[in-house]
Amino acid sequence: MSQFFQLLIYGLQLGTIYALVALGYTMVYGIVDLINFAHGDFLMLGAYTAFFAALFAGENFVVCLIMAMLVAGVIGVITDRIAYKPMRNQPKLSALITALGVSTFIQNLCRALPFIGPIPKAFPTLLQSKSIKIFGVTFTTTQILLIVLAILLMLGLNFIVNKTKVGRGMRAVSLDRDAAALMGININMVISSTFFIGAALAGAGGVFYGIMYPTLEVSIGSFLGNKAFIAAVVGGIGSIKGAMFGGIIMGIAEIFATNLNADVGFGVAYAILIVILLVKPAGLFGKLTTEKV
Amino acid sequence: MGKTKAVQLQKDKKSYVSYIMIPVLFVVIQILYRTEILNSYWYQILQLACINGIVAMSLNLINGMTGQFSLGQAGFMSVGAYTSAMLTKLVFQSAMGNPFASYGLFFLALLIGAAVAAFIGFLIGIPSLRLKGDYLAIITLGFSEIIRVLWRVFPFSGRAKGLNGIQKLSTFPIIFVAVIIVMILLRNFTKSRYGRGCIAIRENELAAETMGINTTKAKIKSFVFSAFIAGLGGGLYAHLMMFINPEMFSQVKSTDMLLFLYAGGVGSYSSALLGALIFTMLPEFLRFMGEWRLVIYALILIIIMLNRPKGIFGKHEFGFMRFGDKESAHQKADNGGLISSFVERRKAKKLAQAGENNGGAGKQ
Repeated sequence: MSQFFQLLIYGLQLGTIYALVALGYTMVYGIVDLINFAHGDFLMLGAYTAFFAALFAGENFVVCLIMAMLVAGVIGVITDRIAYKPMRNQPKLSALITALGVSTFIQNLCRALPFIGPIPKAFPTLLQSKSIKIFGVTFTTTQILLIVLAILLMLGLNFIVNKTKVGRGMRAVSLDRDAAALMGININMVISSTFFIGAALAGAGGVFYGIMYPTLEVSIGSFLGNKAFIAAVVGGIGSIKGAMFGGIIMGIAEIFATNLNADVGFGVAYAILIVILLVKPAGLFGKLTTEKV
Repeated sequence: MGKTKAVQLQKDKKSYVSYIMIPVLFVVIQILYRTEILNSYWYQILQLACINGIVAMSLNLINGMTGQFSLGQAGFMSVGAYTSAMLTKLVFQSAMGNPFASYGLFFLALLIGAAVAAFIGFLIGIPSLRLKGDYLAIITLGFSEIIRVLWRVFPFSGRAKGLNGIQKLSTFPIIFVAVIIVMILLRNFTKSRYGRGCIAIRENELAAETMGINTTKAKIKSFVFSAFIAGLGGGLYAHLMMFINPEMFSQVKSTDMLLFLYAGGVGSYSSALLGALIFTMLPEFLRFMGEWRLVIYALILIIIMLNRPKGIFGKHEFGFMRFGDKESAHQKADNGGLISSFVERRKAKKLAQAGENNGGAGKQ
């Protein structure tokens, strides 16, 4: 039983990271109908920003986190402006291939830059952690802090989307872009802020992941991004609530399955994905759109 | 490249030119190789590019012609690769004495591999083709990753280590002939009743259904056929690389194929083939850049997609793939082929010039 809770804590920690990244996928998809393959790379950039911030500005968790979120967010906006904006009125799949190109570009640029390079780096210990033991379950203060922080970030996002003017704009654009434009909403502004928020959340996810598994590599972006993307689809892509729950479900399932067998853990994400899509074709919280003639 | 250019010049004449060009192209490549102008490294890359072309064309059948966004081609490729490699390595090994027998058995292994891939495609297609758009893409991706996990646990496939010591049976002539056969098969399928049904589904699924096409059946048929050809490509790939492991058939391979198809031009087999040839060779051309080569590669890809969103060659079919059909002016504009759009632009310029001259004459 104690092992069960132990795994549950690990699963929650991984799950909240997936959820943070999945949120970005789902928001971008909801607004511009694009699977942003480069989203995982924003996570990687966030993690590296935190690494360098710790190197130059001291190992301060708050500073590193804010830097990571800002840099990832700004890069997200720039990517959208340069690579995705010209593709808005083009076939959807062409934009997807551009996103693939952007992902390859960011990853290999980081690999080629001399100060990043292909060699894995050790992520600094930003938080001093203490172990706490309750009812035979050991967990660290860092774990609790990260889970709480991730949940706070998600609640913050929920607040932005549901209560602020930008959020109302986002919801309007995701419902009907042309109608929203006619109502006087600045579409490009809304899309940029979506990219900023999504990428910033991914950047935060990168820092959390770095603290959890302190080996930093250029490829963590695509690897984690993939899982998070599946989480977003399981939850119902385009739905914010879905991304949160999808991420947490995927994290917990992955930790439990890996505990049984490493190979099974590798495939469990896809198995869950297939089962859910076959039972609920639009994901857990997604809405099926009916085709109008 | 020489082939397509020559075909383009004679665009509106009979397409038999390409039937002559194919053997000529083959002989030219052979001569270049024998005289060592084309070294064995590039020869190998060329063969790999042709195999990528086969798989990209198979992807075009389902994505470009049927309009169903499938992303799991690497999974079918791996089924073909593993099945045929296990057959030649473990089952047929003892019978492969003389070259005659070994090639015969190789073809048998390729066919069985492709058939097994088609069967897996059938099993996957039935549940997943109910989904549409991005959801279909993701579920096919999921199935292809599941297949990869199965190869990691399947006892005869060498697990995570993979299979090595596969005989090198894929030679350039075999691959070349395979490309041609696959092209003809795909062309004939697309021009047949089933293929036209698939195109109708792509254009408007609801309308196709009201016209009496069994859309589910047609989609499954094209999916299975696509899996068959991808499996064939996988078999050739295994016997070219001489070793395979599950990591070779990861999502990266699937997205590579997608990239070849869409950067070349979706909706056209010849564009898919050319896209695969160009984008397989491009990173090799950029080798001199060292670590920066993939950065430049990605940059080139982004620039191409931003400037030619329909792919380099568009929906245009070259040479004998067109099957004697003439493209109307409207189709030409819609297809957005590289050369035809260039010709269009020149025509428009000439027309504008002529208009100016006429206008000038009127004044005088």
